[in-house]
Amino acid sequence: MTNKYYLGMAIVGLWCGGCAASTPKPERPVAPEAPRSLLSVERPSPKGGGEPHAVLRSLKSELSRSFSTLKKQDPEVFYMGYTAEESEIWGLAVTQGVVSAYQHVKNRGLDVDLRVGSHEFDNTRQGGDYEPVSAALPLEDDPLALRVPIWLATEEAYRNGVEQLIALKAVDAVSSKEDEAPDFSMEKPVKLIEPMSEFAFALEPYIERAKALSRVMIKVPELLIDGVDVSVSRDTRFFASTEGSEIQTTQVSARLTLRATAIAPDGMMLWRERTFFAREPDDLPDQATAITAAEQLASQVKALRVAPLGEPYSGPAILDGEAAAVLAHEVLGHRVEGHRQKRKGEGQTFKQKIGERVMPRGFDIYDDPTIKRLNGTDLGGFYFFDDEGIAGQRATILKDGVFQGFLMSRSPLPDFARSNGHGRRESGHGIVARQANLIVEPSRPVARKLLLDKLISMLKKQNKPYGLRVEAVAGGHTLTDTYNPQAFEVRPVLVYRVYPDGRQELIRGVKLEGTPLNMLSQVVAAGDDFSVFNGRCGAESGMVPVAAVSPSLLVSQIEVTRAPRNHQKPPILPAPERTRSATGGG
Amino acid sequence: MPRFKTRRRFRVALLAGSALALGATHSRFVAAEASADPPAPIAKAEQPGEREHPLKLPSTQLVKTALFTEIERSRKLQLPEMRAPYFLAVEHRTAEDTIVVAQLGSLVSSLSLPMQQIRAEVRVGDYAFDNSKPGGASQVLPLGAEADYDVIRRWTWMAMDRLYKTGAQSYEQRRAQRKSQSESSDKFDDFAKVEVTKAEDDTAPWLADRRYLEHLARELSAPLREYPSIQRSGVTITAHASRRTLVTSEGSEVVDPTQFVRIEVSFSGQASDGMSISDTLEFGAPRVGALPSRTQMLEAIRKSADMLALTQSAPVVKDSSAPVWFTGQAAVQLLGGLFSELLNGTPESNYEGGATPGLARRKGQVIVHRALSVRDDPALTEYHELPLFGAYRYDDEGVPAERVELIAAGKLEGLLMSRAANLNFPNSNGHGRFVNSRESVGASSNLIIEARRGVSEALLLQKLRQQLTRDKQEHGYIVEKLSPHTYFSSLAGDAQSSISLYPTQVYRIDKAGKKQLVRGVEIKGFSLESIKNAVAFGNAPRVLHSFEGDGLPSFGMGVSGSPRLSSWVSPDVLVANLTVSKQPGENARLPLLKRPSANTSAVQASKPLSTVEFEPL
Repeated sequence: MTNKYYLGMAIVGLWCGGCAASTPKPERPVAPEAPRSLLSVERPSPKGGGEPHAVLRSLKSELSRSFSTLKKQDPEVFYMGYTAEESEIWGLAVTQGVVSAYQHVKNRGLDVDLRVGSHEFDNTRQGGDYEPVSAALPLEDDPLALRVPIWLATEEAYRNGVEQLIALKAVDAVSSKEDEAPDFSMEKPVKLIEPMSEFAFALEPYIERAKALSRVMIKVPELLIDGVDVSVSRDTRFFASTEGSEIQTTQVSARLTLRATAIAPDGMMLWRERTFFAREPDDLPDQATAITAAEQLASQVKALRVAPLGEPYSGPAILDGEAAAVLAHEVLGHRVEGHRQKRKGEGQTFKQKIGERVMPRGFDIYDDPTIKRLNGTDLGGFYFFDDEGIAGQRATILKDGVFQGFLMSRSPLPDFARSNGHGRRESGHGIVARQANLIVEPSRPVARKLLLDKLISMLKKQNKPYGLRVEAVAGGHTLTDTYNPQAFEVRPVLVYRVYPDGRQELIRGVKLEGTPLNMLSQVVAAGDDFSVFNGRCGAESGMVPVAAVSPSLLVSQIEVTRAPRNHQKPPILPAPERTRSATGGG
Repeated sequence: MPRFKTRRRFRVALLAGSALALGATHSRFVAAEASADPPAPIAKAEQPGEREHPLKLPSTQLVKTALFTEIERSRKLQLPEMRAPYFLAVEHRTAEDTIVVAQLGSLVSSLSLPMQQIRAEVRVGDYAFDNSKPGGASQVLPLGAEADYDVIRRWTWMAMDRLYKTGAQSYEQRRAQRKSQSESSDKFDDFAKVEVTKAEDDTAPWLADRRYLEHLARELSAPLREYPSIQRSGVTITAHASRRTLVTSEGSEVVDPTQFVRIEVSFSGQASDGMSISDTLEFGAPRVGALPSRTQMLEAIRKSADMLALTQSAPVVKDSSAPVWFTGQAAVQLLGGLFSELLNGTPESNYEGGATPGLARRKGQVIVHRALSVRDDPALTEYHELPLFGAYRYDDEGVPAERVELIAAGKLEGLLMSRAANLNFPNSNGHGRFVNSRESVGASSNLIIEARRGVSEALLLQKLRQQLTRDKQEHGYIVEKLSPHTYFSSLAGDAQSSISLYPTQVYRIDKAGKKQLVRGVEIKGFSLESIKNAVAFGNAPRVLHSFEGDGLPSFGMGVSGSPRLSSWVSPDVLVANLTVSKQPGENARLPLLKRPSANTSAVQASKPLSTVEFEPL
């Protein structure tokens, strides 16, 4: 089986950071480290004091009713957790200057996590086929209509749990033992009931804005397809567990995505996408900024159309912040997810590296879900509590280049008995450790221009005809199982050849490949320009929102190969002429 | 591979509260109920943020001009050393689908999907031999809700370009393949020629008011709160309204509307031994206003729920060979389903070499009981005062709909033909329907099955009991409802093929006429021979409305098939010597806890409904 993990939906957030004090949160089990000089972070504190919503009340009623019976069964249930999510989504899509989709939908879903056996050995053990039982919940607050699907899902979860436990015990009886750790960590219950505030969003004003952005792009005749998406979602999570945890929290997120596609004369499809992410719709970029971005996107795709094809290359390169952030996510992030260190069949690149140097001195890498905003940009991986009801905490992965530890859910490792609040999932999937906000922070960054000078000097020294600069990526994936090479792949969309005389030339049709330990060891220097990549990451626990933050990195060697190429010819007939003017009407 | 492998099929009982009540008195019953249900203003929207759809839609004339312009341009599509297209078609559809789901009196989801889409078709080669096999020559592309002239043209241009390139390649590959194969004796064209059609019915289809449907779904799902033995239940209402504009390179132009509403009520529970018992009740009509009244639907739901509760405590059937009387809904499910699938005349599109389904070869032969006649008439709107909903004037390929005699006195006379010709059936009779994004196949509209010398229900019962005595059997069975997931396509072509039937409502009856509800029944070995050798047929027509094809859109992905209603009319049928046995499979454990109690009332569900409100598309 191939374990592949994807990061998609690029967002670029370039900024020039100032120095502001962060707000440390006193209740955190692990106190955040002192802020670094180049990073300004905002860590809000949770505000409780709300009234439990009818959904949470129904979860608690059924939890209590079911657990009183199920804990007496053989085999016994020792833990139950109910998660209900209410999502209200406003979505708008515009292409060719007209609306292609327009929606306002609301839904409620339930996930029942039920553990049979004991903390030491239960039905969710790695290697089994555990997944939660999911169900739709009514949008209205009638107690009976809410409780019946909860009851049915619980009954199903118990039936499944018993079968899973029996199967796992049978496997365990004939398997050799190594690095045994319990299946479920002991944690303290938490309670946070945020007030259910009213939230209303009007999509209509965005229709004209989106159409204007689309018109900006279709002014470029070389574009085949353009797209402007606006989506705003309000997600309320209700969580109750038999340990006594009760959580009711709401998050709002807003996205504006611009997309442009063209076809090169040789048939290669070319595309660029740029997403702006914000925690409040009002924090999305203003129209002038968005129009500049749309113009830039369209001109980039137009330029890519006639750019020369890239050739396989190995040598020095600069990874601009966004590309470096994705690389960190793929190269390191997925490989330090705790549950991978328990699974047979996983590559476990870093399992035996605690205390070892894996990167040059001067680099810290950590994952911190408590950061809501970094240098003025909202981060997609922010949360107060993870999907197991554990407070999100900063997890230090590398300190001064030395490997420190893993991202932990409630699935413990021999030397990591507790969760650090990274248990995450998309509804319908089992929870595993996932990234939230992955941050690469150098202690001795250099001015951005110096990185370019250093690259040119390396080229001359190595007598290379050119180096590369990777400006933007579309995402990437990594393979972590032992049946495949321990490799990653990043799909760059804006790559430039950098010649020794300083000229830069856009190329197309390449991808970036490598292996994790080699890649980390090749980092030579970091710039002072941090970029944020907000996206959605897909793995075995589904799609979760994440952010990756990094400065530009100079690497002594990267490997670039040809991307798969489409051989279909460009359209035979010219595109139909437009009758609508670029400013609308028609 | 059997036909319709990927086809979703929904069959709808017009009034399933009492299968035996289905009959010629139905339409009068509806009228009486409707008059007792006076219209009144509808309640205001309760969904926060709900608003009317603010988007602009292109006029029919503008759509036609856009399609025509691109078809004319696409005639010039040609790659060096490849054939040019010989047939081009584009169908544009402006549609709105509304889907509302409620459980136990509460809304679970509510969604309206306004959309436009095109289905483009490019054929390379000629009518006799082209690129359409296997798998068709068309493609569906969603255009978005507010596509205008420019957008329609742009997507049509891209679709035509892609279809031509893949079509030209497929044509050459197929030609090469034919050269390497021996010639088949079964020869027929790939694509039937038709007369040019010009027709425009620009009547705006009506959009059902989503708020009304939300209220209706709550109201219809609320009675199931009162049945603690029903574990799962739900009401799904789907309303579709669309207008299509079809333009072909042959010169045909067709504009017409399509609309329907479908209500599905499902519920399930377990018997004391854990056996799963379920039932589905469906109502369908071309418009919300043509549905049975709410009072009728609520009565039918309660009756079915009561029946489910009775079935839960009914004994499990014992294995035997027995006569079976299919009556009411089950009779139409059986005969309507059988003939609508069996008489589809489209050849297996993925079966290369020109072979035809076995049935096409049997033209003129007796294939079923000589008492039976079957016809399909797309012009009918009622049959013996029973409303029929399958009427249309032009099929999905723009061909005028024709009445077709399919079976006369048991003998095969015709098939339901699209433009995909078949052995012995070279022409379309206007029954083409797209069942997925690429293939148009022959489908029913108003399928009328009649039996000569049909007998009354009393006489059918008497014949059943006589059969028991004759065959020295202890019990016979009366089947009132079959599982909606019953497929007959594997019976085509081979008289010896058989399938199993799974009744959801069935009685055991002894020689003395004593009836006992039973559960867990599988009827094995049902074949065409079973109908050929039927003991008797009824004389009361039963009706069922069926949703044929993939009618509903995937979110943002367009409608892959053509949404349309069919109506089937059939008599009861008594069949001897069918193998009745207990369904295989293990029973699930019963719940450890009881269903949460209904100590609260459904707030929204109790609000009265009054009338239907429409908005023009």
